[in-house]
Amino acid sequence: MYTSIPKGLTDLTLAIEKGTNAVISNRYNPFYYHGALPQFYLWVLFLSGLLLFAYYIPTIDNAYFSANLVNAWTSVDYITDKLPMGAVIRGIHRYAGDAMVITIVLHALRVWVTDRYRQYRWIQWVSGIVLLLMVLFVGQTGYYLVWDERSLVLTRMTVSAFDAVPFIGPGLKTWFLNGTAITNLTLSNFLFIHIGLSFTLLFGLWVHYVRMTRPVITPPPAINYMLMAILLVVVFAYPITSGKMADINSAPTSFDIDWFFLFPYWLMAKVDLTTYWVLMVGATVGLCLVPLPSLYKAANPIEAAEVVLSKCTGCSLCSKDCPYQAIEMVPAPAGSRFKLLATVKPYRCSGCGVCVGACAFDAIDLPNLLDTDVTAQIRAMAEAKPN
Amino acid sequence: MSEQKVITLICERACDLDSVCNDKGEVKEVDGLHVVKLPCSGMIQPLMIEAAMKAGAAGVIVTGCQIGDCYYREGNRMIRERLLGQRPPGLKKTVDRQRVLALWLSRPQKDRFLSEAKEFVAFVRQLPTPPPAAAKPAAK
Amino acid sequence: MGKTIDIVLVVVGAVACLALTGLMPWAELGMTGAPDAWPDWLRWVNENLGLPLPNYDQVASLSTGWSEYLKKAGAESRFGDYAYSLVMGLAMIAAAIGIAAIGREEAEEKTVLPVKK
Repeated sequence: MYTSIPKGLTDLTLAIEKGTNAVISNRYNPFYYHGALPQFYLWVLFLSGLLLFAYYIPTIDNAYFSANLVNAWTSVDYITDKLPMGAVIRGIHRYAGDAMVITIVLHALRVWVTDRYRQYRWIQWVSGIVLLLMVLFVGQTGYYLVWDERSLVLTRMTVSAFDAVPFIGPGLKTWFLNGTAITNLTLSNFLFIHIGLSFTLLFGLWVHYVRMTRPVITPPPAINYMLMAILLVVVFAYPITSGKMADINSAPTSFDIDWFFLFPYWLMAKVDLTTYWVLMVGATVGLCLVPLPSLYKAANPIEAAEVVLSKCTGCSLCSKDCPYQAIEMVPAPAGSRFKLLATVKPYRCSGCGVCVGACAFDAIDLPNLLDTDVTAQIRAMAEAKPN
Repeated sequence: MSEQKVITLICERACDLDSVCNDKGEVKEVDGLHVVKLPCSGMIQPLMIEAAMKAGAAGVIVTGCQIGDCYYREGNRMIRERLLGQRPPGLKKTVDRQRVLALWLSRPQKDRFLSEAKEFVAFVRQLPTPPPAAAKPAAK
Repeated sequence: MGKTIDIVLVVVGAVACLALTGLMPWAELGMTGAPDAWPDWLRWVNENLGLPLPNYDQVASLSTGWSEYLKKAGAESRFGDYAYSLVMGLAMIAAAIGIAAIGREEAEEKTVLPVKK
């Protein structure tokens, strides 16, 4: 059950959720939609990003400081100061990004505390870590796109970090810069990564969802209103501003840090690059290995459900009801009375028994808990006379 | 009849009854209440409920996790829909619906379970004795 | 719609949502209700069809207060847009509270099976 997690942490989480249920009921408890919250912010990011994209110009030219200068920084400045609702859309985009990182981390924490990441759920966990890394990198490219002094510092730090990677370092650097120095091509590369990687998130999400039947990805409208409203209020309370326009001939050294996305840069500034990469790669690999079976000596091995082929009628109820896509209907052999038969994919099986509950023909069983045994136990209890 | 039993079919992660149960699955605080544990409330087959009634139980309490928080994602929704007739397989028509209660409680909600269970056991024990399973359902 | 507190929350939520929505035109015009800020077509309707335009004099203090806050926080222009965002956000919170107040009554910790007659 929860044996691998400190009991106090689980108790605390359950107590908080019990309190939340008492106030707003399980129907609106955001803890019960913890995966759907980042998904909502992803839609907000796509929409607000699309609007910003209509006015954003990915160039770095600032050789001519004239009134007609047009580059990334001036386009963002135009959006923020001149375009109706431009500042609000920019703010929504930026804060939805931060909110997405927050909700992803809370989601991961709850998944870990409630023990929903091991065994048959390992793909969800590992794909989740990969998705988090992608989200962080997408957000970082967002900071480069503004092309203010912070962007210049971040770009240069990233270039030196890539350069320090053994073997592929120079290649990574050339890829990142789209050349050998920072040019207009670099900024359009950043835009391509920002948008392209965001859409790749959808593919990653497919992997994240594929082993779940009917994944819960849409919170009820009342929660959506709250999620959106939080962004709108924060946009007013903390208006977004750009730093000074980046000048490639200058060498700015400091910047305001957005902890949600830019914490790797804080680390980069504190330690040497080799240590940085060791820590980052080590942390990523470590997080991906959290579901490693050898870490859980106390875990119960799952005995997958087994179909009794002689009784299966191919009604598909078990396949439809299975929460983990572990039962597939296959064509019945020739000469069978029925068209389909159920088969279990044992590595996906969670041992929950929902299929057993769904079967009206006693044609599927959990080997370590036969439903006939359960029914016999029930009968014995119901008949027992008190002594 | 005070010997009538009420069977609770509960999942491992719903309200924690270990502290109030003895080895035989009897709940000390509520007379006649017995507990059968399953990995998930979704594993409950309606025929298990029918078997309990046929064997003489006064009622059955189905207990799962909070709706929205099933450890196996959907089990509690599945059994809930089966009980309400919204999903096959369903309860036979001959089962007296008054004698079935479903509770969706998280692990810390043991006290809520005990209070609901006490009320339910008292209620079903004072219902007129169910007719034998072969007879037609009694008119209300 | 059962418990009293839920009815109260629904009413308060609805009223707050409507009131805040009423502030949205004011915010969109730049936190002003002055007639020359209104768009031409609306002024035409007001003058020729007699549609009354709301008077936003009572919220003039909000206009100065919020503008000062925004300036200090670093915003440079179009303060009305930020105000619109705030007002819309608060309206959505009020709506969410009202909706949740009704919706939570349907949530289940206990399912009693309906008895067929």
